[in-house]
Amino acid sequence: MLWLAEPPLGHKLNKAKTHLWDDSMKDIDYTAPRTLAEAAALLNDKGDRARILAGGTDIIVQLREHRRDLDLLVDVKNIAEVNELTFDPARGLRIGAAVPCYRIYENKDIAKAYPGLIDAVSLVGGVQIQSRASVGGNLCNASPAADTTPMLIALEATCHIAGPQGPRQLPVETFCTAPGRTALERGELLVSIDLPAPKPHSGAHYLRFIPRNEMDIAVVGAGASVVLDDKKQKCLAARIGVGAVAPTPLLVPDAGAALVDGALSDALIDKAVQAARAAAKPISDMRGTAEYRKHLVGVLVKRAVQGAIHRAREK
Amino acid sequence: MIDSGAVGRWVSAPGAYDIVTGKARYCPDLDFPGMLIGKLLYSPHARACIRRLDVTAARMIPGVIAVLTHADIPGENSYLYAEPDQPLLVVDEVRFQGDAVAAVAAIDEQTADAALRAIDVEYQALDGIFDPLAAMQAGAGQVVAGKDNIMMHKTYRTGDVAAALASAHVIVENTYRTQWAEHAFLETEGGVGLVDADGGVTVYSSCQAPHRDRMQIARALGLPESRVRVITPYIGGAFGGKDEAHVQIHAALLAHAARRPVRLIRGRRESILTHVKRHPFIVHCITAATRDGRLLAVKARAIVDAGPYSNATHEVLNKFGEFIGGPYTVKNLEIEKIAVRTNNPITGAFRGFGAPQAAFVYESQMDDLARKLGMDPLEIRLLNGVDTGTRMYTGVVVREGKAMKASLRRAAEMMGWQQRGELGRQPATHLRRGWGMATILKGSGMGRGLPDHAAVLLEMHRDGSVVLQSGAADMGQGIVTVLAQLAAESLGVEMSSVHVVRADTAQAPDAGASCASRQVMVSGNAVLRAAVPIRDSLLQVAAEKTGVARDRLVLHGGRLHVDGQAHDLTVAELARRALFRGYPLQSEGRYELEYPADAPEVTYRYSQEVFQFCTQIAQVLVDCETGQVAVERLVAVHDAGKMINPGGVYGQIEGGVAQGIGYALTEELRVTEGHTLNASLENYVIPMALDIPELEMDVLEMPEPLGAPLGAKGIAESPIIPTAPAIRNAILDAIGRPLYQLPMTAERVLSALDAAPCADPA
Repeated sequence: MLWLAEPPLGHKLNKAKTHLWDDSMKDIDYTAPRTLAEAAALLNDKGDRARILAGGTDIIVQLREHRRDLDLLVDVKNIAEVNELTFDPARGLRIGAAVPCYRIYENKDIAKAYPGLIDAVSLVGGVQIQSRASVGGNLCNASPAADTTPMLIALEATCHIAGPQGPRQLPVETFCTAPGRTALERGELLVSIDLPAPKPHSGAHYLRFIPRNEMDIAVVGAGASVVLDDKKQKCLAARIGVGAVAPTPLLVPDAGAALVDGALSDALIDKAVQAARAAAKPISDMRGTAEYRKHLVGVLVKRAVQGAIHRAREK
Repeated sequence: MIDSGAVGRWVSAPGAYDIVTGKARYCPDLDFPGMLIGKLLYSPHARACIRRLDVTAARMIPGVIAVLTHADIPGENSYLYAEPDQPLLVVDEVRFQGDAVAAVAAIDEQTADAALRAIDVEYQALDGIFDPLAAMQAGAGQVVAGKDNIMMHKTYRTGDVAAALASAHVIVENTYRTQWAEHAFLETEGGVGLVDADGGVTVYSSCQAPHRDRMQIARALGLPESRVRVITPYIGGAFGGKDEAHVQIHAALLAHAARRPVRLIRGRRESILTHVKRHPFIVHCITAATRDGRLLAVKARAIVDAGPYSNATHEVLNKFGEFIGGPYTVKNLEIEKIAVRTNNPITGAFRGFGAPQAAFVYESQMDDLARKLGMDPLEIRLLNGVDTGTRMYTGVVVREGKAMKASLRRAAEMMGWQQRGELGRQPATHLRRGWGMATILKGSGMGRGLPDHAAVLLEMHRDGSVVLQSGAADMGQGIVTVLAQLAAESLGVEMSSVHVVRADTAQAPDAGASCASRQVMVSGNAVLRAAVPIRDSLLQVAAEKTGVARDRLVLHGGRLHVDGQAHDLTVAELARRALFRGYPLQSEGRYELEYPADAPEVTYRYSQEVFQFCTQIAQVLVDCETGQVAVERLVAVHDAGKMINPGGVYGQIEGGVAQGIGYALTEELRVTEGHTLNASLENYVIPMALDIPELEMDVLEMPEPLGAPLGAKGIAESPIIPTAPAIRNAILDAIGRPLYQLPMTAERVLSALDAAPCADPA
């Protein structure tokens, strides 16, 4: 949202767009299909003149502010598959693309199994937004600063996609391709996001930096997940996802790899921090300079990793 | 005074239920048969010459009823209440992003948008002048042709600053920078214009000064003021941002042209881009003191970026200079005040009129001075503080100033200032805790030499109910509540018996603007005066009916009391009898702010003489890795004189502190080449509930001896003033590094730390 909303400082303003300051929306068609096939057909037919409506917390604002121009909104909330929210301790978690945030954090089993995910979903907007906004929508909006995406990346989520060519799957870290752009092809829609079952001695944590204490867009976000050995002194596997430091949320494989290189220590965590800083390619905008973001990503990765280890050891 | 228990009690504001249930109607809620939607066209350039302006196509669109350019304004195209130098619609040159080029009225929003798009404007973009320091240089070019870029340049001197500096033991010299800040009122500006059958115009206006709006609307329409009526519906906040009339004039122009009702409401983005902002200041300040911490001299030079038009720039700089010495005894002072025209956003009134910027400077200087001298910040303030009878550098003698030191002591006690070290200064490796204070004064009223009066009409009906007509705009600050309390108290009726009509220029006399914390004093006193003849009539009838001497009779709670005992006669019965006998039950009350006749000559022009004193102490936690500052505790001790409505007073303190925390830490309009980049509440970061600690408040009641009803002083502005410097000083205490720029964003705090590890706690 950040990248779409505002040109970075020093960027040449698109002055023609500053001409009209109204908040009015043009008339737009709305349809609410009941099957994935119907939805895919409508999207295929209209191409980029149509877009999915789930919670609407991004798309309606974008339309109102003339940041998107559409002819058709396809409301997917009548389609069973995108409303599915199921957790099986052996198979993992399936989050239907239109499931709003509150359904996730109000489910006690899910909250216990995926505290890192809960960190992220409870930071999206405020309570009112969380009652509408979906994790799938957050992902499809493809903001570099999306709060849930770095955590999904750290938790090794898989995207299930439906479309005219049949279903396919993508690792979540490849789903966003540029600010506001995803890997979805014409006619395709996101159906669900699947997370593997939490492994023994695992822990995850997401945090972000914002200039105030609530309801804001991440200046930087960082999610970490770790799997510890039986003695909880070594890290067997780790994944680090970061947000708002590149055109898309990033998986930082080097940061994860750094953590599985011996007994856990501050020095080891610092290697992960250095890897995350090296991977970050932030821009300067009014929320922070590139230099500050680069500094912050180090601080947040350190804290996210510490938090994830703490949770793994608490279990 | 007769006590009916209304004054000094926590009362519910009249209309509170309607406001919280959504029944109260604000400008955007108003609807009239045949009403049109008005919109304004703005330039995409911060500065441009208009080569061609053709509205023919827009006028041809079905549903477009009126399209106006400067050529269609029947009266004066220049507006602003003090110095009318801003065009309602641009003639040939756009001078800032908020200059309107054309106005349209159409049957709905979409048609109005279509009309705006159909207006053909050819702009020739011009190089703008955006740096106030560069604009002051010779050869910078002129922002407004024929006018010097230096809009104002005044110096005030008292004492011998040079000699004082030469004899000083310690000198602190710093340069401060403050930002453009946004009022962020809940309701954006708006107005609804209506045309009467006989050509008169009525405007519902979201404003602070209905009678002044009337003057400006009449001037633009070329009508006598008698043909223009301004009514204030409910208003969703103003904070100085609606002191000046803007779009309500355009709404009137469009209604007048279309001969139909026109509603013109600014969108949030439009509002942020167009209305005045708090002036950004660059202040160089030298403060000198003796070895034992006594202030010797203050020398300051302030440069403000005014934008292209005057708005309240003169007033803001006047108040800045009046308060730059702080609530301290300063014998030698020099303040140079410079306002510069640029093509940046316009700037004007905002809660405190320059006093918040001054306080950020003088209270930061005090802590820097205390550190240099190794003194406690509380001690140096108590040592230099003014008191009742102190003659200040403005020439004003403080009539009631005990609250200066009393608020310092009380705030220190509430915070546990002397024991503050006992709580951990380093609760975690990366965290540092600190404490900082700021104490300020702010005047109430327009200032000596400026018109400062109000009148009201008060009438009791035969059933004992009371109607009060006041021209004082209530923007949510609660003047209606206070006036209802005062009317109830002085007529001996319940507050529920008093109906205060929202300001309407056709019914109420002029009360002046709701600004400068003045309405409680001026309109409040006007109500007390208006009540006198009505009360006399009631008591006259009561004395005649009971045969008891008048001095034994009291009206209270809607009933007559004889020797303190409730009597059978109600106020309603007395009203009925008074009217039957022809005794007057209606009255005008008028009050002009008083100044003591025997006071020494004031040397600083337009000085205020009624002072709100207050002290705030902040406890902050600084994250040394991110630079983020959390305000953990905030103590606010304010002097409001006598509190008429304690709920209103505490509400003003809470709101002011919240706004002050935003001003201190996050709020800043980012302006590049005259364009505001963060013109939305998504990117202009105001504090949320979680950013405000549970405030610890106390109110000292030091009654004002002169010119205030029952000793009340007003409280609207002072709460925002000390917050930013208190937080600044707490950060200094926490990390040992001073900041000289607002807001103190995490990134700026981190730069102050030089990205180095925090110093060990002192």
